[in-house]
Amino acid sequence: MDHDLIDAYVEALRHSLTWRTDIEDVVDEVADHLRENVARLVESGVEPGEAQRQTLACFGDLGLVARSFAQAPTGALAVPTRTTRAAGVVALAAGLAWLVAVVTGVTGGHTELLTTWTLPRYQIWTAVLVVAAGLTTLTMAGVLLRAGRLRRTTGAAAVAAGVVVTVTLVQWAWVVTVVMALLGVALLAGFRRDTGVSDHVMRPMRVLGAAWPLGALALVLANEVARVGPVDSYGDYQLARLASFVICATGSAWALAVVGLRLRAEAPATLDARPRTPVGNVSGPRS
Amino acid sequence: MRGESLKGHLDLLVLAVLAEGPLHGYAVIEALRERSDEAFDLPEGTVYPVLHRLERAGLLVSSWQVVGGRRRRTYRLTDPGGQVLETELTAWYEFASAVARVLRRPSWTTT
Repeated sequence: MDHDLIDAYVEALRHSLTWRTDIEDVVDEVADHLRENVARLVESGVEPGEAQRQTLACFGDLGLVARSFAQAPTGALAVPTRTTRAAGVVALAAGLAWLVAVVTGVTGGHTELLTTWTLPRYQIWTAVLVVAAGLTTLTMAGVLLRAGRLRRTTGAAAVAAGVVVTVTLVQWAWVVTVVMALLGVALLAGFRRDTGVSDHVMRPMRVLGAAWPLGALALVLANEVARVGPVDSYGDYQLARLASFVICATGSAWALAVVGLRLRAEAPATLDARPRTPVGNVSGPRS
Repeated sequence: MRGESLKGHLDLLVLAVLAEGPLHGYAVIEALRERSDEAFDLPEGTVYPVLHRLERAGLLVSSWQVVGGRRRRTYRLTDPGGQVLETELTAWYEFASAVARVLRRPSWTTT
């Protein structure tokens, strides 16, 4: 046969699902199904070209099948888009902001453990924290969108929690690790169970979510139980506060940088693109 | 029966088919069609995302073989998948039984 409809269909499906990390497995599995059905039809006496047309008609319109591969369990599309790629840039900016927050926090913004604490330094550090938390919330919204969960209750609640945390930091930056723990819990809740998104993206997001609650727990234990290092005028152990913040913020910077790079690397889906072959609208009787 | 009618039930149907033994996707779809007396008329390609989702949820596990020069993926029910199937089957039979009792044709409609 000089024109193989099965090959054209499989290649068009590959083109529609390029963002999937398991695309080769998907394509091989679909090709196996289609070839098996064609072989059975030909064995039963159907002409090869007609066998291919009947097989594709039963398998489903390319657009419909590609969309079914792209749907999250919620029914929403879970695909990379220009918006999720933009969220990748936001994630990189958020990671950078957390690094700046570490530097400004260590140099007198958070504690006076290493240098003198001053109000202007605290205000600069607070502003950086608010920017970092805001960008982190936007990143979370982008990944929720990528997972088809932004409009679910848990997804919307996670973003709302991020906004609350961002606003709270304006007044409560000095307990940043505890405040950020709320965002971490919201993030873990928003991404619990199977998201359909590659582990390459989800693993760092879960690290980000777990870091702050664990950091807050470590802070409380260090402040109330271990009680190591100098005490500030409020009676807090500065080493516990600064160390928990630096570790969580640095971990967040790493996680967000990884998420950002991986969101940027995903080509936007082209689910609406129609195939250049008649495979998308063939019809025929079932064998 | 169109695909829309099967939404929400397809997971249970796929698990039930695979409870009888490992199958590749083509055979799962064939079993669904045969065991429903061809009543389930859904696009075959839409069953594969269901299989993948069930595998990600840990209810199925897959392995690859080479058959006739082609890579073939075979699915098997896991222990958690079997437990979910049992739970869902019980819930389904209770639901179906209750619906049947409500819909039972009253005697006066046949006179």
